[in-house]
Amino acid sequence: MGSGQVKIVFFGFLIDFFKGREHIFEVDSPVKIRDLLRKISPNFNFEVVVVVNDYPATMDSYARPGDIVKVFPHIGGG
Amino acid sequence: MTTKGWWGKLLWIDLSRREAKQVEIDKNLLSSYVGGRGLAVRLLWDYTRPGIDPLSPENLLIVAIGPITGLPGPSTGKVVVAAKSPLTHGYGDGNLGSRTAVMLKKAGFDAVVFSGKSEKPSYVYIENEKVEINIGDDLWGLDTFTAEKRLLERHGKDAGVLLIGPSGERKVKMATIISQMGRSGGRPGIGAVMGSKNLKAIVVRGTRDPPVDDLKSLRETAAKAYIEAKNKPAYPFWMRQGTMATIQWSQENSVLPTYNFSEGVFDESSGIDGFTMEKMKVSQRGCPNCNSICGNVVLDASGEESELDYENVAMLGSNIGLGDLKKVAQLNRLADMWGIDTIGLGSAIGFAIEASQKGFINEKMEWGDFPKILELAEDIALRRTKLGDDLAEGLVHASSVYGCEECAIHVKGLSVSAYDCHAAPGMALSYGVSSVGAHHKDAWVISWEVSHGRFAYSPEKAKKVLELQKIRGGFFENIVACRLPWVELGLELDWYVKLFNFATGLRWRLDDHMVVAERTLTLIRSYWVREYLAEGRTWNRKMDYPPVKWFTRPYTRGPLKGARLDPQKYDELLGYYYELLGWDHRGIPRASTLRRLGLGDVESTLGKIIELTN
Repeated sequence: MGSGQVKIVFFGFLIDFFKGREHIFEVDSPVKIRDLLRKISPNFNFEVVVVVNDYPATMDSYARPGDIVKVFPHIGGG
Repeated sequence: MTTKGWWGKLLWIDLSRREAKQVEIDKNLLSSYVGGRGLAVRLLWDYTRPGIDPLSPENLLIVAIGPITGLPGPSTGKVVVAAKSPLTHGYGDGNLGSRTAVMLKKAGFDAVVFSGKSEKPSYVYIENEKVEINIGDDLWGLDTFTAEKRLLERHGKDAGVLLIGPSGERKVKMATIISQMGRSGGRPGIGAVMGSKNLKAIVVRGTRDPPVDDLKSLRETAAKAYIEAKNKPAYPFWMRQGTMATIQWSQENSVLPTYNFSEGVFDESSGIDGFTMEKMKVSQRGCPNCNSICGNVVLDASGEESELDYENVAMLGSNIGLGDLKKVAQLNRLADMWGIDTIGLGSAIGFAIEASQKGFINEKMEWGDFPKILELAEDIALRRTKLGDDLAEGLVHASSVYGCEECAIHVKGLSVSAYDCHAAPGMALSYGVSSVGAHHKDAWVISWEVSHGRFAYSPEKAKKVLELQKIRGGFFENIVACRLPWVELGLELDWYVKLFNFATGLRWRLDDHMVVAERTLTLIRSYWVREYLAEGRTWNRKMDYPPVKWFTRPYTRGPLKGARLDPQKYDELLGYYYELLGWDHRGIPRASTLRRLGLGDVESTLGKIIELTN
C-alpha cells in the first residue's frame, strides 16, 4: 500500500472542539481513527459517530490512504 | 410517604355540568407513577370505560405535570397532555413547553382532568382554586396565534395558555395543542379531543408556593446544573443550531426522510440545514426554565416569523421534496397556527404525492410543488376537500380509501417521525414499540445505533432500545422535564434525580425511576390491549411492526443503496424486546409481569377479556 492522505471532516460542535472543519493526515498504512482524533486533540475522550467514505464505521475502524472520514457528535434530534 | 413535591390534588372539570371539583390523589399512586405520563395513563385506565369513542364526551383530556415541574432546574417548564387517541384508538399523549406548566404548579394542582363536553365553545380560566368556564364564541375559529394573543391581553401576558386552532375545532385527527406560538404537543390527535369537548383554550395563573422538601438545596443544585449544561462542549453549537444540526447529520448518515420515506438522502438537503437556518435566523425562543433554548426563529416565504426544529423541517422539507427553507418555514408556521402536527402533516402530504404518482389518486401532484403542497396542507388542516378530509382522518383511513398501503408510513396509525429506518433496525424497533405509535420521543436509538453495529438485529440492540425508552419515555415523561439537555449536551441524569429528591424528600436512585418507567410502559401497553379488544379490533405482534415499505422497497440511491429491513430478523429483534419486558409473544404483558410491577388490578381486568400468559 502506498502513502496518501486521509481527510477528516468534522460536524456540529466537533468543528469547535477539534478547532477546524477539516484535518488532513499523510499516512502510509491503515491507522485507527481513534488514534488520529487523539492526535488532533489529546483531550478527546467521548463517543462520536464515524462514517468512512459515506459508509458506517466506528472509532476503532481503520482509515486508509485516500479515505474520507466524517466525524459527528451524538445527537438527540428533538 | 412524603407530601412534598406533589400537591396531592387534581382539578376535575366536568364541562357538561360546568362544574369543577378538587380531588385528592392517593399518595401511593403518586409515588407509583410520579406524574406526567405515568399519572395520565393511570387516570385513563381507572376513569374511562373500555372501548369509548375517543371523540365522545366520555374521553378525558388530561393535563399533567410532575414533581419538579415549574421548580428551578434545567428545562422543567413542560407539561404533558394526554387522552385516548382518536388517531390510534390507543393511549395518546404529547408534551410541550409552556408557561402553563409553571402556572399549574403554582396554582396548586398536579393535574387537570377535563371530562364531558361543553354545550358551547368555551375556554377555561384557572387562577389558583378559582375556576371559570367562560363562553369562548369570540375565540372559536381563530388561529392559535391570534387566539393566544387575545387571551393574554385579557388575562395578563404571563398567564399560561394551552389552546387549539381550526384543526382541533374540526377534530382533525392529527390536531395538536399549541402554546406560546410555536410549541406544539399531542401528535396522536390530543387537539382533536380538546375540540370534541368544545374547549378552545385553557388559561392558568397561579401564585402559590409549591411544596418543596428542601428548597435551599434544590436551588443550589439547579444553579449548578444550569452552569454544568452551559459548560458542556456542545453548548455553543447547540445555541447556534439547536436540533436543526440534525438535518446534516441525518443526510450524512442516510436516515433523512426523503420522498415519503423512500430514500435516506436528499439532493437539496443543504437548502434546509442548520447552516442555512443560521443565515436566516432572526431570534431564538425557548420553554420556561430553560437555558439551552432551541427554538430558532426565521422569516418565512411570506415574511412572517416561524420557529423551526429538525422534525418539522425534515417532514415538511425533504420528505415532500421541498429544498427551500423559507417555504418549509411557511408551512411550519401555518401548521402551528392551524394547530396541526407538522410531522403528521408532512406524512399526509407525502402519502398523497406518492399515491398520486403511483396512480392511486387522480389528482396530479409532484414532489416539491410548493403551491400545490400549500393548497393541500390547508385542505387537510381545514378539511376543505374530499382528499383533505380523508387525510385529516389519518393514514390508516386514507390508505383504506385510496389504497397504496406502502405509502402510509405509520405505526398503529401514528405517522413516523423524521428518521428513515431502511438501514436502522434498532430505530425501526423504537418506532414499532413506542408507547403512542411511531414517535421519536420514546426510544430514539439511531445515534447509538449508527456507531454500534448498525445493521445488526441483536439482543444488545433490543436492550439499548428498552434502556433509552425507559429514560426518555419513562423517566423524563414522568418527572416531566425536557430530555434535550441530557441527550444533546450530555447533562448527567443524576442532576434530575437530585432535583426530584430535594423536591420530594425521597431518596430515590435512578433505578427506582426505572421501575416506575417499566410500570408506566407496561400499563400503557395494557391500556392499548384493553381498548383494542373492547373496540372489537385484533391485537397481535404485527401491531409493533414498522411501515411495510422499509421491508419491501430498498433504497434506490445514496451510499446505502439497496438497504432494507429483513422481516424475519426484525421479528426476532421484537421477540428479544418482549422478553426483556416480560411480555408474551403477542406483545401482551404476562400475568407475572403485571404482579411484579404492582399491577395486580390490571391483571385482574385484563385477564377477564383475554387469556394472559403467566
